[in-house]
Amino acid sequence: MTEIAAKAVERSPGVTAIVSLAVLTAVEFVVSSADISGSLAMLTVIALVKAAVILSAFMHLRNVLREEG
Amino acid sequence: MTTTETLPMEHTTSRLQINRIGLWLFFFSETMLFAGILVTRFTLLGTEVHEEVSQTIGLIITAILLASSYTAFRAEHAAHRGDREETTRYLSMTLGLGAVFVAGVAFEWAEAFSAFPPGTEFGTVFFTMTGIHAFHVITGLIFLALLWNNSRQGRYDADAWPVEAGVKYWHFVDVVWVFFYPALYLL
Repeated sequence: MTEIAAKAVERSPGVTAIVSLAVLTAVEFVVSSADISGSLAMLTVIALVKAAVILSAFMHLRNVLREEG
Repeated sequence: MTTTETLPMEHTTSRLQINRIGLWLFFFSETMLFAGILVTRFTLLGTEVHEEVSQTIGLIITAILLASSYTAFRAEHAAHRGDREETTRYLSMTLGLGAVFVAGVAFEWAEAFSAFPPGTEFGTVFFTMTGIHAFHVITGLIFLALLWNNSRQGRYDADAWPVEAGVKYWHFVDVVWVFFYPALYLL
């Protein structure tokens, strides 16, 4: 694998995560603006999903007990 | 049987593992603090949000902080690859975005002082939550600035753990904001 290809592979989880976070933030904003019933529950679920994305994709929670990676 | 040399491999714990476990325990203790603040917010205010709170600034600074998590992610991966130039570049981008976030909070505070002063119920909650979070962002910026300076000098070419720790702290501050943002601006 070339260095450029390796960097692209390395980048992809981060790109997926940041796009997901951007979409979820936009959804959060729309849910709040629309003033629909059950928005508190929806905002809570969205916040939990956003936190899970950061913990898994950016913070590599699964690697806590690993020696590498 | 007192030294690690005499123990089988499966019974030894590497320095990196110990460092990571320690860092996550620190995050856990910090989570208790932020969870307490969040519970206090809902106890005092219920699901109300002040109508004069700026939704636009809230959305902009949230987007900036999330973007900084991506640049921090890239800095960490570059450090693990031993790419000094890229590590330094992405750390400086993260620092810039973090500084813009703090400036955004400062701007919001200037507005908030007249709209809902610290003495009011919402003001107390707002200034406490944004203040404690901003304090963590500023400590993160100091940490990242030290990393940036050391990275420039090639001190992490062989060991990327300090960069990993600083970046993970930055992500943790981002996770906290993921919960603070809707609690302060949206609901």
